[in-house]
Amino acid sequence: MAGREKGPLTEPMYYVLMSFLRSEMCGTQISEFVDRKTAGRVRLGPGTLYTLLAKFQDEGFITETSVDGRKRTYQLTAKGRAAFEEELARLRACVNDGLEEKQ
Amino acid sequence: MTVKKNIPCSFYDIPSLESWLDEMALQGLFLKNFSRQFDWAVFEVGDPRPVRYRLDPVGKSAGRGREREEPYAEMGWTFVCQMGKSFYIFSCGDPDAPELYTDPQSLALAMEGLLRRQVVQNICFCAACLLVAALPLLLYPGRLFRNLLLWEEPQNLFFSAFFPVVLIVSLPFLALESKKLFDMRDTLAQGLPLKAKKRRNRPRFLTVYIFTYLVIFSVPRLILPDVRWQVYGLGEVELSHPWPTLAQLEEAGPRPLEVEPEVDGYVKVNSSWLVPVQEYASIDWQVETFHPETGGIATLHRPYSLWMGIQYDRARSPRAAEKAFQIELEDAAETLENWAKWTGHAYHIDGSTGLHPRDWPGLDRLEVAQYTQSGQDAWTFAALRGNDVLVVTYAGFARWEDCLPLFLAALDQ
Repeated sequence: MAGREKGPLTEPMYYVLMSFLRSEMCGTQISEFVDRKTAGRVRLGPGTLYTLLAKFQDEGFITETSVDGRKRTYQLTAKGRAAFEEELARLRACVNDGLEEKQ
Repeated sequence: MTVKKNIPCSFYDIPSLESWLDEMALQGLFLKNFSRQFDWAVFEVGDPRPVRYRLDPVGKSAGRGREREEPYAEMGWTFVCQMGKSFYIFSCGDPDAPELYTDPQSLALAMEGLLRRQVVQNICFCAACLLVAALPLLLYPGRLFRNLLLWEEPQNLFFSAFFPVVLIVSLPFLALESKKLFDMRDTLAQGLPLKAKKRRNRPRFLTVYIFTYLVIFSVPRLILPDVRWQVYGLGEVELSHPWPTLAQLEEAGPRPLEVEPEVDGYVKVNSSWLVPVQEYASIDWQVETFHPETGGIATLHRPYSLWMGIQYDRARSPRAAEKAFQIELEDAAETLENWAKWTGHAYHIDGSTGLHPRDWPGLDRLEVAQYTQSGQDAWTFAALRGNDVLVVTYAGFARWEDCLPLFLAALDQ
């Protein structure tokens, strides 16, 4: 399986991966995306954001596409997309389980 | 204007360091840099205002971290300084800016590089200690063993043992320090925030540390002698056995002396637990004498060179005696080699046979060398009997075969 073997993604990890689904992104764009998407519920500090980007790069989930001065842009890889899909399926199952029990 | 303040907590206590720096900012002291060597932080004095200081673990490479300065600045965090190779320190005066690390798990991830470096550093420290500890064993194994057996240079022995002891004492501390870091990482990885530890008086801790180190390093130099051999004049100290005199030795040879000659020389004594009696006596037919009335030195006539050196060791066990014998034998061989090289010197020898094993009733081992010194026949024998080691060097007319029984008879007394 191309997904993640080290357990579920944390919430910031999930949203950072999600930010790449539609287009390439740089750091500030990711931060703005997550802030907008979660209506400010999930905030990414610069330490968190750049640590996750470095981690995803090391794991082959994202790859650098361009460097413009200090601005670096990344895109999702197939492995990263699989990891996101896997997490999405896990979360969907969690939610479905909860809803099923609630009824 | 700047102010220096001692750091009141561990360099790895992230929450304590951060809260201390925040408090300093509220007092109008803004961090400028850290000095790990001197254990203090330098602050710039300004108007008190709330500023958040946060520690960012240095990643796999220091350069990669510095690349983050600009993107961090875009999000409100300014680079202040670096704390050794452990942390970058960023500050933020905007209360609305998000925390540097908004979730503990990402800080746990960021700590991976720091942990790896800490483990590598500890391993390197242990390896360096092991290497320094092993150096005397690798470079001078004989000298170390000799020192352990004969206890000749206690200072040397102490400093040979110093680094293994430092390693043994340091290991639990290093392990504890690493464990603390791993515990911190695990706590963060579980999504739990770190708790600040109690602040401590680091200057006092450092004073005690430096004082202890100085004591450990300087006291042995004061109380342990460099060399333990004590030197006396002939007659100033009683020898372990009534060794034969020069006249008694000459009596066994072809030119017996009519009267006991005046002799000159010295005695060296030492002791160790394994070899409690170690003595060396150098006895020479006197060639000069001091006249107290005139204060002058007069030359005495001696018809030929007559001299002996007696090295005697009594060990605690036959096994220790065998080791001591081997050391004395090597010493004797080295002395003969040196004398052979010293051309033009009074001690220069020619025609040495080298030390060769011989059989002698009652002796466990016997090795004899014959040579000439200043035109005079001379010999050296090294004998081992039970716990006793005897090495005699002699220049005179008597043969070693005739002298050895006299020494063995003295040994029996």
